Amino acid sequence: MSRYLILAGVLAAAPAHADAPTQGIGAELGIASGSHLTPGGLRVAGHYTYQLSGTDWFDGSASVTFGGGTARCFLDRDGSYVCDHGLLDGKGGELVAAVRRMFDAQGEFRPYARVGVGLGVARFSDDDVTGLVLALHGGGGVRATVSDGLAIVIDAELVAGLGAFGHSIGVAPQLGLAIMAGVEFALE
Amino acid sequence: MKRAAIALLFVGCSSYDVSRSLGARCERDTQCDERCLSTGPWPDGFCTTSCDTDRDCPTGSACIAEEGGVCAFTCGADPGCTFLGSAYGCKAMDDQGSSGTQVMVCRGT
Repeated sequence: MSRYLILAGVLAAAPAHADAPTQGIGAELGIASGSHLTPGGLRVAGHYTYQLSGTDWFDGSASVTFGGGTARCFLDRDGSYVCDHGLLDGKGGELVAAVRRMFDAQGEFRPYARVGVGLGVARFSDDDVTGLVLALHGGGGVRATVSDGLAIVIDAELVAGLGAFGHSIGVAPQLGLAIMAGVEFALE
Repeated sequence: MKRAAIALLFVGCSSYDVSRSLGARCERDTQCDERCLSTGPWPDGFCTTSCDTDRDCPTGSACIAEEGGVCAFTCGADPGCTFLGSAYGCKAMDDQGSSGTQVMVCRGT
């Protein structure tokens, strides 16, 4: 809780110039929740942003998710392989290509929406289950410039897609939620 | 009539959760949380948990005096065991930890 208070304090203290750089890189840390065959846990992401127009930026990211959990897959009585992992189980990695639309600054903050598509891997090692995942990302956040070339971002996104898994599981839905916070640096 | 309708609704909504700890199909222990009964009257294998009394077993199951004490789904009649497969029926078995007491559980026919 204290971390959120500190972050809120930093955001509140941010100056009013809320322009985003033409090019930037960033790093985020947060929590992703999954379940069943969607990995969840601590998520670390790196971003590269590039301005496409007056309001839109390309937002490419690479993320890894570190969850816990134990073996939770089993053979149902009909012979189908069923997995019932918790919200913070499994591990994953994903590359996402997205477009970030920046809205007009509201005081010290510049809100944005982001939509994209991601390709990744989900892994539940205790069950020896691995899948290739294709997912749509949609969400939004707020960006606050702290100083020249440095900004803080907080965002949340929903992820929905499909994963192709082994162990006769086949194609399974992916559904998750991530809440992240981080910093972004201007490159120019 | 009202009671019958409520009872029917309850029976119709009742279900068993097959899991790694109880009821999943298996061939070896690693497919279960604890142990797999893969031989004898457990067609297609049966994940279960060792127990000394009913309190050691998940809700909806009882500890029977077999294999040193294992949990099995309780039942009232054969149809209550069809979720495990057609080879399972409702049988009277000795209750582990309660000598002389029998309990109805799902088991291979």
